[in-house]
Amino acid sequence: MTRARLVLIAGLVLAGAALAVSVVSLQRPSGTGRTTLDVWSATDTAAMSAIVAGFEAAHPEIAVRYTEFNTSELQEAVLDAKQVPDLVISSAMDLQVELVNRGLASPLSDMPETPEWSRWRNELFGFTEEPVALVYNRRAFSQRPLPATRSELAGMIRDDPRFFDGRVGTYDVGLSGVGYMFATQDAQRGFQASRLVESLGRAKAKTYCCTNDMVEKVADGTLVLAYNVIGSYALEQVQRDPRLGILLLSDYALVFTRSVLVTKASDAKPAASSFVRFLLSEAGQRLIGQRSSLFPLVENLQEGQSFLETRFEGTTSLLPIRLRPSLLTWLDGRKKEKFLREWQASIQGRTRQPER
Amino acid sequence: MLAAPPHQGRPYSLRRRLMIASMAAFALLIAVLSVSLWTYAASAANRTYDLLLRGAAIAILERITVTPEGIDIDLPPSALEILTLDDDDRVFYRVLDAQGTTLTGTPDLPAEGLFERPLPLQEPVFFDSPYSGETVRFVVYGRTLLSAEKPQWIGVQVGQTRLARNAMRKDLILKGLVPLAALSIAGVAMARAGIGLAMRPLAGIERDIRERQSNDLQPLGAAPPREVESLITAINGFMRRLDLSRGQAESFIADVAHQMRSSLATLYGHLEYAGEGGEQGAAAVARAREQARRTVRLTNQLLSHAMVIHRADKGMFQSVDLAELVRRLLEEILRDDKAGAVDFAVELPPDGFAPRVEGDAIAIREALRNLVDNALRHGPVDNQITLRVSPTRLAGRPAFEIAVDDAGPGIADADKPRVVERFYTRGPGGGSGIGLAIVVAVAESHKGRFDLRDRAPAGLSATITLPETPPPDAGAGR
Repeated sequence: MTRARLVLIAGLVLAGAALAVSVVSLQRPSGTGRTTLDVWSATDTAAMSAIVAGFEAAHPEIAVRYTEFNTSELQEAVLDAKQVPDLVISSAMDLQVELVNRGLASPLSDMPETPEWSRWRNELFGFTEEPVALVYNRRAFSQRPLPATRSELAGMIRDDPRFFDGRVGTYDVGLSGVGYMFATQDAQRGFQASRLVESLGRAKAKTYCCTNDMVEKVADGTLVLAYNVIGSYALEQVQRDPRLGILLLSDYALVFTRSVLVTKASDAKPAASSFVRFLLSEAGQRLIGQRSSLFPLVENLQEGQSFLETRFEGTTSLLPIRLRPSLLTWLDGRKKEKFLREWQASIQGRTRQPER
Repeated sequence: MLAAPPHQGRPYSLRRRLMIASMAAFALLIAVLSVSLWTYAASAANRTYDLLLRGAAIAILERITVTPEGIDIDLPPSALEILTLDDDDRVFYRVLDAQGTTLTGTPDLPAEGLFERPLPLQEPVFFDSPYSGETVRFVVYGRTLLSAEKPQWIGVQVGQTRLARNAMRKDLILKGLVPLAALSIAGVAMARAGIGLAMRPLAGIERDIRERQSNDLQPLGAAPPREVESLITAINGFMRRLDLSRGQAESFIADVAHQMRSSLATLYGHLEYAGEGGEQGAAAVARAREQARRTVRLTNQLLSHAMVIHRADKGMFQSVDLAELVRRLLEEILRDDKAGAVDFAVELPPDGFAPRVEGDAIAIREALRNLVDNALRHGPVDNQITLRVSPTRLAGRPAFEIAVDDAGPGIADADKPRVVERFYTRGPGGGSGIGLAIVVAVAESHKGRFDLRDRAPAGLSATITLPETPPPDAGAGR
């Protein structure tokens, strides 16, 4: 099923001979001299297909078998798998760190230089740099100022409950691993976070599983704004839809990275290494920047903030979430349980409102 | 003689020996210091990072509280953060109660028999244990929480892989070993240079000796450093003795030449007369025969003397049974039938007491033979000759004296020092003048002594005293 879907999507997104080769290669049985790389990924196949195709074009001797999961499924699948994949790609940085901390990743050498926060132990490599943003409905905010900071946002929601009531959206941190990571990072950054969550609760904020759902609701006017959405995914829709605006709050903007690791059990480590090297290489990063909805890591590094400035409103200081074991703190069972309990208590207020 | 070391092939090199010795010493030093450096570096790295580990444990413990709902564990992000500040170490943790039950964290962390001890630990316990494919350093630290009902112990186990520790240890060892190795190389080089410096005076002495004429036996003029002073003194002493013995050899050869020449000239004179015939001629023939006999004897004695000296040079000492030697000598004399009416006697120590000395049997026999010959020659026809072997002491050491007593006319006291000189003869029955010189030479080469004493009422006692073993400095020159 996955393969069929991949072929379909790849066919839609890409055209040309390179694509035909890659599709054929995916269907060809292994053992004909080509190495087949098993990639398990928690990233939209659409976002990755151009990159995979580019890799296969650069390495005709390697075929990629791409399987898509959501982040928590991916974690469980990797831990339970009898047949472990060669590569694991995920946007859930904490879960990736957990896999590495368990000793499941294999160290890679001779990788291109990338920012220190985006790599750990030469085993885990971030290959995108994606800010967490705020999406708003342009018509709703045509007569009012946009919030610049979290503190302003919390103040606005408190001061104008009629406007915001039931029309603010954010991640359901219990459903979404990424949403949970954003919320915990916010909480770790400062006291404004809990104030904001309380305001969201007072405004009877709605919670969603995914960035795309929130952006759609903002576009059709159900929501006036969505807080903490994945900037790369949202930007794609914002650029197509004039009703939408996207904003980075100026106090800080969290930045996360999609990361890749080669499993220790992989039987095709050289090929898997070249896949990672390709992701981090100039060619791979250019593909990410130009042919996918994701944001490249290295291009950002080269252009400073200009890459983001040309795409987002507002200037801000970027706060990258570091690929480090401190992320494991929030995976702690008791910590997570406590955080979710408190967060849900705040967001739902005293009166539970069933989601429409 | 100088005790020259026996050397096969090339002689050993002082420089190489010292180099090898100093290199071995430095290698040993480095090995010993490396071991202590290793342990020091390991413990220093452990101490440093154990503080972090303990800090992380404390940070976690601080956030554990007792609430009405039970124990509240609010893991601080800083705890794991301080363990991965600037390195690639993996970290592990769990919170456990007094029964060892994991309350949160990774339940399968190794306990290393921790729970065999009484668990309410108040002091941190550190240990290394293999976990998830690497050696991991763990700390277990706990504290007692005061709650409404009863105090409750809560422990934290925090682990960290050893990458940072090992890197620090490696760094410390390297920083310690590199200067140590440099110092060692410098030390070996200095030892090498020092040998050259120390050997320089010897090179000067070597040049001095090499450039000498072969007959130049003047003492070395170099002012030697204290360390080689005794060597120079020994060389100079040796040269002095060499000079002396060369002088003796020259005078000996001159004496021999003179003796032979005059002896042969006398023989020639007698033969001249013999050619005239008649009764005078017959007498001359008899004298010539007698002269020829004396010349032959003189020659034999000279050869014997040279042989004794030569043998003494060679150090051919072995164990000699003096009783056996005396008995055989007597048998030989009687067989030659030179004794005539002379009465021989032998006095030996009692049976079972073998008089043995370290010596040269042939030289001793030759000396005794000469003494007996002298007694026969100078004594009356009915002489009584006694060969006597008896134990005595010489210079405080056990020795034996071999005496040849006779009943002859004896030697006047004034003559006694002279008779032992070469070519001194007395009277018409006198011998070659070599005999007693040989005896003296044999006594000296054995570190013994030779004495002439008068006997009462008449007669002479000639005594050779030989030590049982040569004194320790025997062989250090003659």
